[in-house]
Amino acid sequence: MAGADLLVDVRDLRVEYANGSRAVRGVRFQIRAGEVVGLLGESGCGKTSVALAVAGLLPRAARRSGTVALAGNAGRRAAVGFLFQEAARVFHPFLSLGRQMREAARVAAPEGGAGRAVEAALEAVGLPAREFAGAFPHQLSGGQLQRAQLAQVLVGEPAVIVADEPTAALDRAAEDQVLDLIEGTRGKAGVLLISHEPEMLRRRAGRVMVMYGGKVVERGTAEQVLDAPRHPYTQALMACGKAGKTGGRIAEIPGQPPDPREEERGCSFATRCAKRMAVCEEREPAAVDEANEVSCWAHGE
Amino acid sequence: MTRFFARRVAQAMLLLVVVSAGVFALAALAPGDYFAELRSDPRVDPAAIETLRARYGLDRPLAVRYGVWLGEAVRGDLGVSLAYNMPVTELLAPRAGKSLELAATAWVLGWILSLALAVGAAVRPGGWMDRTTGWLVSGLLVLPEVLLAPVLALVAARTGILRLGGFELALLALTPGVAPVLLRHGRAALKEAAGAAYVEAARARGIAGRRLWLVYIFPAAANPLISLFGMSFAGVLSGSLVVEAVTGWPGMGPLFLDSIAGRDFYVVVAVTLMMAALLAAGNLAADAMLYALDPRLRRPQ
Repeated sequence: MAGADLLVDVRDLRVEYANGSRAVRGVRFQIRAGEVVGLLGESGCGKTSVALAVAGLLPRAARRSGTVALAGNAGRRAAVGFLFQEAARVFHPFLSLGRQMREAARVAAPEGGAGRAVEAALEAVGLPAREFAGAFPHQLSGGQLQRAQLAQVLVGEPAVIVADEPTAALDRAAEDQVLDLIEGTRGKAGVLLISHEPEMLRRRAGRVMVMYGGKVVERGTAEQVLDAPRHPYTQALMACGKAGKTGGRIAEIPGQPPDPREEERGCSFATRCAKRMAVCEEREPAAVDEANEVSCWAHGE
Repeated sequence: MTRFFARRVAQAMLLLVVVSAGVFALAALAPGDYFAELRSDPRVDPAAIETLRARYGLDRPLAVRYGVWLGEAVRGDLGVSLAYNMPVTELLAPRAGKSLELAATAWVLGWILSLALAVGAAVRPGGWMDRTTGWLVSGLLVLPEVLLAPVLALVAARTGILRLGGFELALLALTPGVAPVLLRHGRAALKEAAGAAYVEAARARGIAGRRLWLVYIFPAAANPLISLFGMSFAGVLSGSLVVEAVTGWPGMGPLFLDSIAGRDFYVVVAVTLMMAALLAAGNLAADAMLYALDPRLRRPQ
């Protein structure tokens, strides 16, 4: 892998599920040490499939092509720490938090020292071990559980943290607390932060990628993408701005997102696009990669 | 904790009183009594029959008889067998021992066999164990013990491989009726537990192999199985009564069927009540196990 600080290098990633749904259709991106990369999109755009593919957690029946290269020991799952949306479903209801943390810590450090690593991780997320190591999941609030999940991810000492809508189930105060903690505890780890909320990514991400119909349609710094969007989809998304936390699907853009099971020609946004041209329905625009930041025929013309 | 179990025990006691009253009423409402046949015998003086009925208290109103019986039952006296002219407890004790010996062996054997097969099926979904046990369940579930027992008894009588009235024959006839239900539930519970969200999350943390099964999956699967564990013994025992009668095992089975046909009132009540007591005891044991397993019961929020 090129560059010592390159943690994740995804090339031409495609994911197809057993029901024929082609959730990811050629995605390319990199994550470097210490950076937070935001992945923005409506529900169904394929962002969770990208997250699962990076973490190696796609279901067995899913077909993946392309490459996902991870820095360091790529075979070890702990190279990626996955922060799930619903922390309540992440913890075993019968086991104490400390027990579940130790099981995870043992994977990262089989030679011992799991107990101390767990204590340190719990302290780091503001859940004193004395009080919380013996607690059971049902005794914690949603915010506390998400912090506990972060602690469990941290004991694995991951090179990359993949956070899939980590605060979608939390209120604003708990959201800020969790995001501050991710920021404060990750060290040199890179973060792939997935959300349908532009505002959250504006505050938290350095670079942002926008996904639509299984592809990245635009990328750039958070300010560039969110304040001066160049792709018509991003522009529409930002225009209806306060679509908010509730739906995830943005109704103000006319039309429907493409059916992921359908083969498509041309640009996947063409049918809903205000700047549609003849070529949009005929041929696909150039994909987003190192050289190209916007996948649109109208861009730069 | 004390309150939890005090309530459960009180519920069990109440259940037994209700069941005993119900059985008492049903058995008494059935037409005729033990002395009914004597009436059709012209050589017997009707006054003598009335004297006999009075001696055993059969001439008194049902409510009074129940009250007297309940008072004695609490002190351990379950009445007298009219056919054998001896206390029911003395009559039943040795036979109940034989029945419990058979049922307990079949029960333990059934659980061991079905759990072993269920684990084999769940560890490799779609593997040969999974497919074989699937067939075994649907094949054996439709095979009732009332059919299997006479066939085995016939084979035993013809070939002499197994001795009629012997333990092995009875066990062989009883176990196939016990195991499939347990196998079906065990298989379903383990498969569901192996696919639970928190098991997926544990896999994502790199927890795998034996630790994943021992720490995460088995306890999760135990939850639905414990209730079945508590209820299953009484079920096995009632199946055992039929098998005993067919194969000639000297347990309560033959006596119970005779006592129903001959309206040997207190024997019917005692055997039925024993079943109910075992069911209640099984449920209490299951409650205790669930309490030990699930912290949500031990420590409400």
